[in-house]
Amino acid sequence: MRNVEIFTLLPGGQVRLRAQGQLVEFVCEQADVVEHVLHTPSDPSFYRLCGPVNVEVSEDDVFTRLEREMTIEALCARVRTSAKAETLSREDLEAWLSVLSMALGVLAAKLGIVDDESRDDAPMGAEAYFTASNVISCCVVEALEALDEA
Amino acid sequence: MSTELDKSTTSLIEEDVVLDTPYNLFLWNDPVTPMQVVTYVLKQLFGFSKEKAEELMLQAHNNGKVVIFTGSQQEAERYCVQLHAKGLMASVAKDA
Repeated sequence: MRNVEIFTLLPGGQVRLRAQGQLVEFVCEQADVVEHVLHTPSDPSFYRLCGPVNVEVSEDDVFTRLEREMTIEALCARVRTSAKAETLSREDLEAWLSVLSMALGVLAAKLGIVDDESRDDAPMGAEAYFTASNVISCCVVEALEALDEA
Repeated sequence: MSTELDKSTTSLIEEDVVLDTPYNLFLWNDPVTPMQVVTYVLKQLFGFSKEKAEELMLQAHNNGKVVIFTGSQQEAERYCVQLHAKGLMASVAKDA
């Protein structure tokens, strides 16, 4: 077994979450945030999450919109379930990474962060959130890379 | 008759040209997503080497955006949806 920060790698392509409590809560909250924005087109960060794929059109076709909605809902559901599970699979970790990044983007959009300069102007609380989210995301990437190597 | 055939042939050729127009998939700079995450996603989705993925990530970071794929509209849009689902900023546009 090899330890990767917040995860312990297990044989058979699984990982166990070493830290619980607040971490689980944090990750589940990110899923809630993403799902809320997904179903709130009036939210200022909706465009960041659901902006059109093709810049030449104002909105995606129905098929693309539905595909996106179902994909994001499935990712959020997987995050909530796996955060409380004993062990996590590669697919669970991929879902964590997606949801953490989408939630990060949503918050950045809410705060009007578009470049490094505007990020520097973000409130202190937001920076603490970015740091926490980035640390977890990087741990997830390290765990995924470790699974690839195993 | 011959003229009509020529017209329809021309029309078909024009249609093919339109259908074959390549589309670019742009990855946009994102000031909040960790570089490590962007590199990992590019490796996973496109099968890039770590070096190539890092190079593209840095180009997006430094220049604001980078073309990471050029191909059919359908393929470019499919990749774009996948990048969005990974939380990254991407868009598709017809090759100029």
